[in-house]
Amino acid sequence: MALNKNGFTLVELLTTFAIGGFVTVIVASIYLAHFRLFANQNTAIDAATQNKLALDEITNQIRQAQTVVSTCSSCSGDTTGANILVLQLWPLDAGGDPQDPMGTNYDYIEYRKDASDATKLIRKTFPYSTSTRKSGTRIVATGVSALTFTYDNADPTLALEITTNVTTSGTSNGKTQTTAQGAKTILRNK
Amino acid sequence: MAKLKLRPRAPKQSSVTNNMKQETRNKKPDSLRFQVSSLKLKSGQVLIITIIFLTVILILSTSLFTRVTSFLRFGSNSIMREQAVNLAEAGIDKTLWQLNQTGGTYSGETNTAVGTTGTFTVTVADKSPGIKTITATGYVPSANAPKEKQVIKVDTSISTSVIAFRYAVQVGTGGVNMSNSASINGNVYSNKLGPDSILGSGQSAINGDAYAVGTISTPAPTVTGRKFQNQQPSQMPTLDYQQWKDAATAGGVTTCPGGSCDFSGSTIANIGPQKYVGSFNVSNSVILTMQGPVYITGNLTLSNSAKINLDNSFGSNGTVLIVDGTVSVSNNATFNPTSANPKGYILVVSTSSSDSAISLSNHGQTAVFYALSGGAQVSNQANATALVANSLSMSNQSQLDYDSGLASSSFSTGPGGSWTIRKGTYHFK
Repeated sequence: MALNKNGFTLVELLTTFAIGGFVTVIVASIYLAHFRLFANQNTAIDAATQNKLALDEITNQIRQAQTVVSTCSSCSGDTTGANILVLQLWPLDAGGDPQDPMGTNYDYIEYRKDASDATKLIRKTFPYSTSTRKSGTRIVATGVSALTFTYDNADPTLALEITTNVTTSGTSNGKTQTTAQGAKTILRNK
Repeated sequence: MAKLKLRPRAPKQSSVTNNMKQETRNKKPDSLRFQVSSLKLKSGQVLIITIIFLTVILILSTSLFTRVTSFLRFGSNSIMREQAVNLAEAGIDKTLWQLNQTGGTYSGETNTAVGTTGTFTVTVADKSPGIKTITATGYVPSANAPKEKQVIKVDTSISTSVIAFRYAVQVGTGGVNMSNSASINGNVYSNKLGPDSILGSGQSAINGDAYAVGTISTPAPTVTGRKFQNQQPSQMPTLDYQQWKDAATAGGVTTCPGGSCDFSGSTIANIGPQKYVGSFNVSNSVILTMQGPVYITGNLTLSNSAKINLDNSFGSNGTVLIVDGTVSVSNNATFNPTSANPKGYILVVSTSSSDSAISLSNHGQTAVFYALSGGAQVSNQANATALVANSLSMSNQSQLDYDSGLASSSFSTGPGGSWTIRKGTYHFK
């Protein structure tokens, strides 16, 4: 095919630029839309995943707890309520099995939002001295915007069933993705 | 980067050849002409650019797709994990039911399908007397190729006192005295030291083995099993009186009017858990159903076809009727066990030290009688399942028919004394 060595006319060039620009704009918008979609979906998935992780963790521990207590000696004054949950569990023996607390030698687990970063849901574990349960604070989920506990009794320490509601959210491109889920759990050891 | 070059305007030509004119006609004015030699896209470049562009989009799409897929898998696994937990819980619930149905003999089952969701496998192991460990495993969708598996372990206990009545008759230092055609169908142990630890006369018979710390008289009673004389004293079954009194009192206290609670006529009523302050007289065709332990501070008299039944909800467990005074049962009056297999019996206890702490006569009684400090008098075709007393006197065709299930019988404070989860032990493995 013979090349046009004499170049393009201005009209041709402008037309080319117009078409090229149009195509570029279209492609760029598709790309940006896709990128935005990707980012939003990514954020939504993160929020949903964190939410599910939080709910699974809390419901499993509630199932295994013996009772809800208003507070514990190591709980730094945190008391069970609408946003904080303190559970009492049997201590674990060397084999990881629950052993008789022999009176008051229980383990305690507390769930609440981190006081220094309210977007984090943390679990504080206070095992009895002879229990093999690991002590310390662990981040259960991030991006938590709301955490509420509802009890089937006005006195939470008498509750047999706890409803946990967790709301997680994340922001991407100025758009906030939110996931809210709840789970009703029975204290199997009560 | 392609560069555009503006070519300088060419000088005007006034004379041109035809060919040149023709060429000139075909050309655009030079002033509008650009040199784009370096701008020209070579063949295939557009394709390459397109491919690069598509690749970027594809990478992003794949990344998002992978993320979505892993999230869906996460959600799916989460659901299956929850299903596996529920299957394991189903296994635990069924095990508790089975333990209560079989009197604690159930040992588990394997790969029981629950619909098409999955299966569960349960094992039951003895941890200590009265405590069993249930290990339930839920599989989704099957144990052979599980996508998800959850193991739950829990201890189950029965809020009962396990009391071993190993002998049809076990007596303390008072010994056994059998006369006429009295018979005992089961083994006998007498802790009386010296001669005639077991004394028989007439046609009395022991259809089982006879153990005595002292000696056993001859020729009566006839012993169809083996005779063991000069044995070591045997530990008597123990019972925590106060525990049972407290359990009964927890249900409430009834003060008998005039010091006597009387049931007669055709009364049908439920009793227990309850403490009765005074004597307790049941006669004629009264039917009382025990739904918990009963504590009577006075005497208990049961006569004339009156019945005290143990509620069937006790299953294979029994409960206790404890009396501070004496127990007198006569004239076809009966204590009836549950219909379970093995049966749950009423344990009739007298804390009295009287020689006639327990008196049974004229047909009837199917219960276990216990008077550790007092004596028991059994006469006139009276019938008991097992008896523990300091001394025993049997006469006139009275009969004791031992139930082998009493070797490890359980007595509970109520129907709630069935096998239940031991609080605190439920945990995931």
